[in-house]
Amino acid sequence: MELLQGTLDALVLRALSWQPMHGYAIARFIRSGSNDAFRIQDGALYTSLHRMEAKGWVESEWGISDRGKRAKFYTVTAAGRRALRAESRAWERYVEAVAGVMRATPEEA
Amino acid sequence: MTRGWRRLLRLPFGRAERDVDDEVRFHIAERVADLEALGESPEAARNRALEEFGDVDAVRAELVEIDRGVESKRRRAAWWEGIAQDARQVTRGLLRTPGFTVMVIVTLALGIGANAVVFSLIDRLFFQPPAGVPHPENVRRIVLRYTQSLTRESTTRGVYNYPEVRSLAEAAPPGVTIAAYTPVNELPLGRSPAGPKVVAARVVGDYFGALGVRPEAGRFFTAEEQMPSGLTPVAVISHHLWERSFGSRHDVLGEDIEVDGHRYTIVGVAPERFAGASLDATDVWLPFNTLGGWSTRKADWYEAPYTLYLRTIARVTDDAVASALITRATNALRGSEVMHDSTAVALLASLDGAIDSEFHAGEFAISQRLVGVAIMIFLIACANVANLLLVRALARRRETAVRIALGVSRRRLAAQFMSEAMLLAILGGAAALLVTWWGGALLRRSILPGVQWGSDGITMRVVAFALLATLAAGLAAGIIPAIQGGNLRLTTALRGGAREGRAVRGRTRTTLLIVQAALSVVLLAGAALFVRSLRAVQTIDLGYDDDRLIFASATPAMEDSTARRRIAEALPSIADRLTHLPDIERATITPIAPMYGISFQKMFIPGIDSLASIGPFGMPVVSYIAPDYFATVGMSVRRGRGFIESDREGTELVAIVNEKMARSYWPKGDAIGGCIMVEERSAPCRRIVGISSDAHINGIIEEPAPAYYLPLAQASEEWKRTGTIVARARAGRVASASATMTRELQSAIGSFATIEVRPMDAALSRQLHQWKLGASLFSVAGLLALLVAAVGIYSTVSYMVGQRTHEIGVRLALGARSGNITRIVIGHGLGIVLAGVAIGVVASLVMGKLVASLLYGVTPHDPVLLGAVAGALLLVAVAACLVPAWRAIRVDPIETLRTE
Repeated sequence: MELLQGTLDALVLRALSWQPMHGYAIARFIRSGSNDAFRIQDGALYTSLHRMEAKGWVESEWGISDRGKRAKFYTVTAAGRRALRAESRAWERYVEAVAGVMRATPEEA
Repeated sequence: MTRGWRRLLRLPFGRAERDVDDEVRFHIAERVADLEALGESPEAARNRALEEFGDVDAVRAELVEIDRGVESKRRRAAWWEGIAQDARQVTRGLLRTPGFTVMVIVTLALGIGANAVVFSLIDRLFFQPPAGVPHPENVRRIVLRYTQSLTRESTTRGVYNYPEVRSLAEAAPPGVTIAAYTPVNELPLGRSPAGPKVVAARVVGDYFGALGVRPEAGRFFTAEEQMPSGLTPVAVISHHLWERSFGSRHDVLGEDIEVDGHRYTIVGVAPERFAGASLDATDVWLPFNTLGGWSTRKADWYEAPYTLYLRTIARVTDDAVASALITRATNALRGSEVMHDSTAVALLASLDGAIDSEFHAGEFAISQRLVGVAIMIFLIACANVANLLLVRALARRRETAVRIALGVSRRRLAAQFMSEAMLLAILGGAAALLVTWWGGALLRRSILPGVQWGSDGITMRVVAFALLATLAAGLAAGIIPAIQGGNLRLTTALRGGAREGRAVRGRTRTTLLIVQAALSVVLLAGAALFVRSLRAVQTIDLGYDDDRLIFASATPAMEDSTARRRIAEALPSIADRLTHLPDIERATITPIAPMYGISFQKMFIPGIDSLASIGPFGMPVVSYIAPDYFATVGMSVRRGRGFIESDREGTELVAIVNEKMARSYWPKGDAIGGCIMVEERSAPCRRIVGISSDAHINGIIEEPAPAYYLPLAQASEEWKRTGTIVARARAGRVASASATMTRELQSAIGSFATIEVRPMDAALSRQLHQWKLGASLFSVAGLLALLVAAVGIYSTVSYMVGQRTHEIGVRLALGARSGNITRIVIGHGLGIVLAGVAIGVVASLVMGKLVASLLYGVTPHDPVLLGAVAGALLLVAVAACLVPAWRAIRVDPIETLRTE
């Protein structure tokens, strides 16, 4: 399955909404959460992160990973959380709409 | 570009690349480690990790670019934040001391404004072509340079008489249009001299064509309308006059306009904005032949040399044609009857204002000197503001020291001092635009009232100039406080005393103050010189009782010979009647009143073959007068007799010469009994019967001109047909006598004549204009400088008192009297000012040479004058010290000693 850019942003923000993470941890989170269903290039993930940083949705800081390596950690900002909420609502409405149509039976005219 | 170079250029952004590399490397390494843990071989793991990542180089490049954007945005934000913070802090500081702030803004506004005003003036006068001329670069003025035969000086003239213009036009190569125009004249519109006025100029040739101007309506003059022989009274009016007086009506063509009592048919309207080739805005253009046509003298203007006021322009679009024109014009002028001068060379000059200066020479020269004045005011203002900022910085040293101790960088502090100066300069610059707006209008009106200034003076060029001046002022005023503020010695400043490091700063402040004082002396000396000149000019003895004379002239309201004759016949009886009226002592008749014009006639003296060119006009001046003329104007007969009633037609022809002429031609003192012939060598001899006192003929400043007087009763008919009444009012009754004369003339000949009554003072005031102008402008500048200098002295001495409060307290405690303290304080101020005065006096002596040519009756190195100026400045310095001194003697010794 291919992913749209906006959706990738939402997934990344969702990942970060739990705790600050470095890029590789986010990739792992998405991979395991989707059971490897999405074919996301890891590079695209970083493009998304840096773009969101430019937009002010995430902030970055160098830290030490759990394996003791120097890694860049990302944190969601307040603006990022707002964007995530908007994206989630839009997603839920989309899912409900699709589901509604899927469940519906034709009415008598 | 090599990679190395690229890296160097991107130096500030190098971190973005490194960070991206580290981040990507970390990701790959982690993925490889995970895959290896799942059992893949290192090589396979690495390949898979890279494959999952995608195009590493492309991603890397994209990330670097995004990060750079982020970085530079942050930098900008930080920079603006810094500025905003500085501005807030500076604004708070300035608001805390409103007195200081206002003083600085006003000082800068005056300094910057004075420069912008003078710039706008100079720009218009010297660097802008006349308004409304489409391609001014295609129009040139023809200027003549020659060597004066007597003085051997190289001289330039830009004016020609009609014969010269005609020979220039005949000599012009094909493709060149030659035209000429007279200086403008303010003439009454309509019949009443008290009514509205128009500014008129007469033109020769295709004047409008030469300037490349097309009519808005109608046409310009035809060649026939300009023939010397004919007189077709036609006129072209300006767009402005068309709007003002004719409501922009399109049927105005063919209507009559009455100028100076004569009717002209309007044939054309000039385009909008165009107001003539001279600086003065013209309303009406008339063919030059209307000058000669109306003249009562023989219509000889087309061959007479006396029309030496025509400015000549040429339309030249080609460089080769231009050089041909120069050659041919040079030959034409060398061969012309008037010139006869092989040193003459014709030159082509630009149409821009400068050459017009001959007519307003004094005003132009003053404008140029104003540049120097403006720069001096600017320097004084900057020095003063720098000084005030320094004093302010010193007063805040402890605060500054604390901030340094708290870790604020010195660079940041310096930047803050600079931004304070800049903010003040910008506020000052904004206020300066106001100064420019109305100060400029005032200056332009007072210097050259009739000039077409085009816009209201604040052009984009002026604004740009003001902006530059503002930046310069900010830099000049801020640089010293910025450097010194940043170099504060922390320990000493914090320890509390303001004693160490004071020497250096004190020296800077003292120097600034000395500069201010010196420049003020120079400006004050300039003011004094111009005021003294005005005094000297006003007290020149013209040889007349000029404060009591009134001139009245009448011209026919409609051109017909009977009107002129009737006026001529009526004037003597009117003059006679006037003498019996209250307020008028005497009244007489002469063809041309002094200061209103001069007349020459060819003159011969037996025994002298050719009369050497003498006097300011090259030859003696002739006046036809009645017997009571000398008594009326206040001249006297020094030897021999004056004219008497029996000197009339039929009796012996007589003449009177003035002392200057008697000395010049009869050095042995035998003028009386001598003989002069006028018009022709074979004319009958006129015997000299008397020698009169000398008098100024044409100007206030004039070397005595040789002149001779002939009885009006023995003049030819032409002379008798013209006339001016010269009346002598009782002392102090000039105004009421003028009114009486106007009434009398109006009732006698007002039905067919236009009457003009003017006191002699009115004629003189025009000539006095440049002297009054110089005196008033330089006085304003001098007072301004003095005021600013006083503020500077006050602030410095005040600071000194503040710093030495402790010492003063001790002195008072030890029994010093208030007089001693006052002496210390005033001595401190005076010491600085004295040095400035000394330098200023020397500078005045040097710079006096620059204005020497504009002065009269006073020299720039007049010791009394310079002494008075120095004294005035010292007096102001003492006055400026008085307040601080008063504060010093009120120091409470107990209070001061307790605090430390």
